[in-house]
Formats: sequence, structure tokens, C-alpha cells
Amino acid sequence: MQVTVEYAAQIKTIAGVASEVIEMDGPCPVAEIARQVAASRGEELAEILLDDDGQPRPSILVFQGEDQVRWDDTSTVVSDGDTITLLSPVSGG
Amino acid sequence: MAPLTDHEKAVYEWQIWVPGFGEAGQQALKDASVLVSRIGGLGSVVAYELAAAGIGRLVLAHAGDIKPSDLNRQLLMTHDGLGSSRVESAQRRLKELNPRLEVLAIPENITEENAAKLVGEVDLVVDCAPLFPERFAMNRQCIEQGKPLVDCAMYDCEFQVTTILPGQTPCLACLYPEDPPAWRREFPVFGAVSGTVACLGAMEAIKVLGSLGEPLAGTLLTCDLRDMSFRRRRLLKREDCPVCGTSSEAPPK
Repeated sequence: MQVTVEYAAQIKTIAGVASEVIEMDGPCPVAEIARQVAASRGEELAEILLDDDGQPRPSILVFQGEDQVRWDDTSTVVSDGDTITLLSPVSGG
Repeated sequence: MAPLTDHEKAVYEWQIWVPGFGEAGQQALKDASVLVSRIGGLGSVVAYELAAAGIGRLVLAHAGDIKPSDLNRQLLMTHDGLGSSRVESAQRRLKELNPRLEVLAIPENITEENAAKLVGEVDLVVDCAPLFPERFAMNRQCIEQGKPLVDCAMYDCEFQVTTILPGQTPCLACLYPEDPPAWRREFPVFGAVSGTVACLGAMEAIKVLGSLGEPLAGTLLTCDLRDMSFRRRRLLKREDCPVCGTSSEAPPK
């Protein structure tokens, strides 16, 4: 199945693209999307997305369409044609 | 509180014409006080817009002196003020615009030690701070004291803003349950980006204080000015949030 992944803020800078379409084997939790792009886009992106145990960092916001989802919500399933946005934390200044 | 004077009605005539705002909204702004922390690229413009709109009292919190690298976005700072206090420069510029404005200028950044007192001084807080511990301290006090918090943030050509209403919406600790390890205080940004999100943040404050329209409650407005895409994203409240939930876990540091 195909999923569109959008990158925002620091993640976009590190990924080097604003979005991409990735292939997944089938419907999956959002955490699988993070692991897939972490594996394909290099160590720097993996470090900002995943902790030492390979789990998505809680401070990375993830949205399915326009709705925030929690990384530990295993009831949320990413399906063919979905758009997932990964947003790294930003602040003022 | 003192009613609007004829002079104030003349100054704010064009916004008093806004349907749903009127003299009652203007009186609410006059009677209100707002904490802006800090007064850099975001906070300078938030404070300026609120001063222009006729807010009664501003509490400004920002440590340090004006540096050359402030001047691309911190619009209350000037070249002549290099090396002098940021809050003093800001106070002077704001009073030039609105001499009726009361300003409490605090040459400190928000900390766990001063947050309770400074949040207690005001009716609403606009978070423009660059460091998450400052933002978490304001968030925690706003939740404890039941004060609305407008949260503004930016990076590169992107920005986001949301309005936190205690007891109604997710709070900052719902969004970020930990101090993000990758965040750095210094980052790329244009003054036009900070100014854009600052105007939106100021408008959120005006809406909440003046009972106008619908604030971004539980909604994160995200924007990328590279392609002018604006998105409204629905946020999740964490029932186990250590700040606004019912858990007894330690709050994020």
C-alpha cells in the first residue's frame, strides 16, 4: 500500500524533502511509518525520530490527515492512501 | 475599572466597528493584563499589536541586552539600543505607541521560581519563549491558575500557534510530554515569519479577552510560508497528562 509522509520543521530539513510516498506491506500502526522512514532516510533522521530503543520519541507530533494520533495508540491503523505528518517540536525566539 | 474615555473611543474607533467586538470588547481589553514572554521576534510583535489594540497592562519578561543578531526580527529593539536592556527598549517603544499602556518590565526570563508570581499578575499569557523549560513552567502555572495560554512557535519558514484553555483543551505538556532532546535555542528564521505568527498570537489573545470569534482551542494552526500552506490540526488531550490530567506523575522538566 502507499502512504504519503509529510515532514515539518527540523525533520523536513533533515529529510531534505517536504513529503514523499512510501510503500508499506499493509495496514500498520503509525510507529511503523516512523521506523520505515528512519531506516530509509539515514541516521540523522533516525536519531530525531526514534529513541535508543527504536521507539518514536513522544515529543515528535504525528498526524493522520489533520488528526493528531498518539504513538502508543495501536488501535489507529494507517491505511492505503493515508497522509501522515511528522512534526518535530518548534519554539519561540 | 475606568470606562473608556472619549479619546480612547476615537483611537480604537476602527476596531470598535468590528461586529461582535464593539465598546464592550474594547473595555475588556482596557481592563485586561497580559504576560508576554519573551519579547524577541515573536514577543516584540505580540506586545506591539496588543499595545496598539489598547490592552490595559503588559507584563514583559526577557533577560539580557540587545545584540546585533536580535535586529532582524525583534522589532521593539533598535540599532541605537545595542548593548542596552531589551525590556527597557521595549517599554520605551510601546509607550511611544500607547502612552496609556501600563508596562511592568521584568529583566528576567521565565523560570520555575518566578512563573507563579508573573502568571498571577495577568489575565492571559502569550508564550513566545525559545526554551521548553520556560514554556513548561508557564503552561503549568496557567493550568494551575486557570489562565488562558496562547502558544506561538516557529522554525525556518514554518510556524504554529494554538490556544490552551485550562480544563477545556490539551495543554503544552499533552503535546510535549518531555523536553525535546533535539531542540536548540538558536535556529533559522526571518523576522517576517516571527511577525506573522506573532500577529496571529496577538489576535488569539484579543479574541479570548474580547470574547470574539473562535480561538484555536484544541487546534494547532500550522503554516509553511515557503508555499503558503495553512493547516488546522486537531490536538489530543492526554488523560494521563501530569499537568492537566489526573495522574500524579512528575511534570516534564
